[in-house]
Amino acid sequence: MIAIIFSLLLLVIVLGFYQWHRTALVLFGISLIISLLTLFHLMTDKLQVTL
Amino acid sequence: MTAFVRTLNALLILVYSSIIAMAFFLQFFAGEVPCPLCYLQRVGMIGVSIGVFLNLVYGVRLYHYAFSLLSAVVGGTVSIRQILLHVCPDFPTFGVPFWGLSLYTWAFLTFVASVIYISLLLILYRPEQSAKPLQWNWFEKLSILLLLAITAGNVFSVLNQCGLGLCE
Repeated sequence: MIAIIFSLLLLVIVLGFYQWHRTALVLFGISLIISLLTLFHLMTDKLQVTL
Repeated sequence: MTAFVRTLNALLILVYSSIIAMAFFLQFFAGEVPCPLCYLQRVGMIGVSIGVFLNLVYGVRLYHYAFSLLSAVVGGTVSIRQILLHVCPDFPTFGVPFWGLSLYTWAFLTFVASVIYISLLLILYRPEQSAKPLQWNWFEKLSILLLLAITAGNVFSVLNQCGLGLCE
């Protein structure tokens, strides 16, 4: 999952070079949302371990 | 003024790229294997850099700064989460401390600093800066190349360590 986030960020940079502005921004937003979801998944996972 | 603001943007990219390069150094030469939360903090750092990178490519826009600020909030949230995991007394910290603070505490401080820095850049914002730049100078080229290399390095590092999973 984290590899996908980094790949998306790399894609954003590459698309930035090739003037795909809106697509880059959309992918950037998606990668941030996936990061937050991953964080929440990790938090609930730890919670289960604690409980 | 526009050139000055663009240089400040490139400086932010350079600083964050250097921080992640140091993390790579610790990873490969000091044996500090990153945890999933560490990788998510790197995502936040790269996100902040990408927001200002878009400023260098397309001209300074307010929504580029907004993306940088959002990334700083995401990264800061992850850092806070990791700080809180280790905040109890007698609970072991993760990794070797640097100047008395753990790396995730330093990461949180950098995210706070980046929010302040971008706020100052927003004060300097003028609409005439949004004109598309014609050419990058050597400093901007260096920062962009570093950002590209650091991001690609992280892709390979995560794929090598965790594959497509969550590094659990």
